[in-house]
Amino acid sequence: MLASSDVLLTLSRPLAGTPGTAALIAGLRLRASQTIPALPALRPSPFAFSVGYSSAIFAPTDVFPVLSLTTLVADTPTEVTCHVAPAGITVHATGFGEVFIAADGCRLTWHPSDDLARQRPELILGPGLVLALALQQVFCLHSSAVLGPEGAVLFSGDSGAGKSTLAARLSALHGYQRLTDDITPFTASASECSLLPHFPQLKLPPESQHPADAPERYPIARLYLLSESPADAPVRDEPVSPSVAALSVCRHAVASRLFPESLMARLLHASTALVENVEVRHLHYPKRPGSIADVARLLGTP
Amino acid sequence: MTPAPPLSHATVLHIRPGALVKRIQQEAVILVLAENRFLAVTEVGARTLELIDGQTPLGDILARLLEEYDVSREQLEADVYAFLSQLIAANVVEVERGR
Repeated sequence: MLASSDVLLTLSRPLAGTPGTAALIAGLRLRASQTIPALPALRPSPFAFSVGYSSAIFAPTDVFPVLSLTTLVADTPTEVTCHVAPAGITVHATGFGEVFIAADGCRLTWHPSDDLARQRPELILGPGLVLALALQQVFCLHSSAVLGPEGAVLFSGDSGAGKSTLAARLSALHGYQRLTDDITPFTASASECSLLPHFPQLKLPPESQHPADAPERYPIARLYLLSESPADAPVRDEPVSPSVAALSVCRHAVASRLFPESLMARLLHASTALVENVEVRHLHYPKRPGSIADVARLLGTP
Repeated sequence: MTPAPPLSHATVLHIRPGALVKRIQQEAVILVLAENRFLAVTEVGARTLELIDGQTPLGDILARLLEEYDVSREQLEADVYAFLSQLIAANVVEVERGR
């Protein structure tokens, strides 16, 4: 889930009949019920259209729940319910609002429920964006990424594993271009494994987002799975068995708890395709001064 | 999880419809759809799953694995029975007939 972050998306007020808008997100067209303000990673689409605001999403008889759970949203215990229907997927977070994603992943309607939800639309909009991409065969990995000599290098791991720090310091100290900070959209098949960098990195300020005129995609050269390491241990990497690597990709897929079965199956296929076509290694990365330079040496010259 | 039923050479197993097995090189990843849960399976486990077809008795599967891997019958039986019991408990496979 896209958790607490600085406010990067500010919405116009949701009024009935407000014309919709279009954006390119991770290179994919997305129509929204309300204006998504300009973000470097969310560029205006060349395809003009409008979508009316709608509260009637689909007939109740078509709906069945995928999950219902209580989780922390903005540090508040929140009941989250996800429904799937032939028309699409609805995610409802009590107190924050609701987002509907059409089955083709190209249209998104959301209803912030109160001022907090309007001020922090990413709380309900974020999962909607991730689901929209997934329905278009693009999954989001909890990872950061930099551009290495042979393509994108991803650092995946749990919160606190150091993925954002690695990308930031490799960028600041060693000349690597940071592609993503926390959420990395990717597409994977036997013919292509690519990172799609134009996605809002909600923990970064606007000036640090991926430049709007940068390429739509980068080939993925390597995926590192970050492992905890004692502070006095050396930086080292080692191979990962393919099943463990695929499992890690599945487990670190953003918002996968909201996925219906069909999307979980697609995620499994994408994860195995990624692992079969990209080198995956464990990176033992102690959090101490100097370890970034050792990681840079592992990666080679940018 | 429910306790796994006892297994024997006569047991025939099948992979449940709600479990998706995806081979990756010599290994496999299993997705248990109803639970949104993934399991990683190593080479021998992946091969065992490949031989589970809803028709072949477990005794024949063990014989086939014995031909393919350098392992004692006792070790293989213990490992495969433990593995299958875990998969039954995890709703990946179930007994078709015979116990």
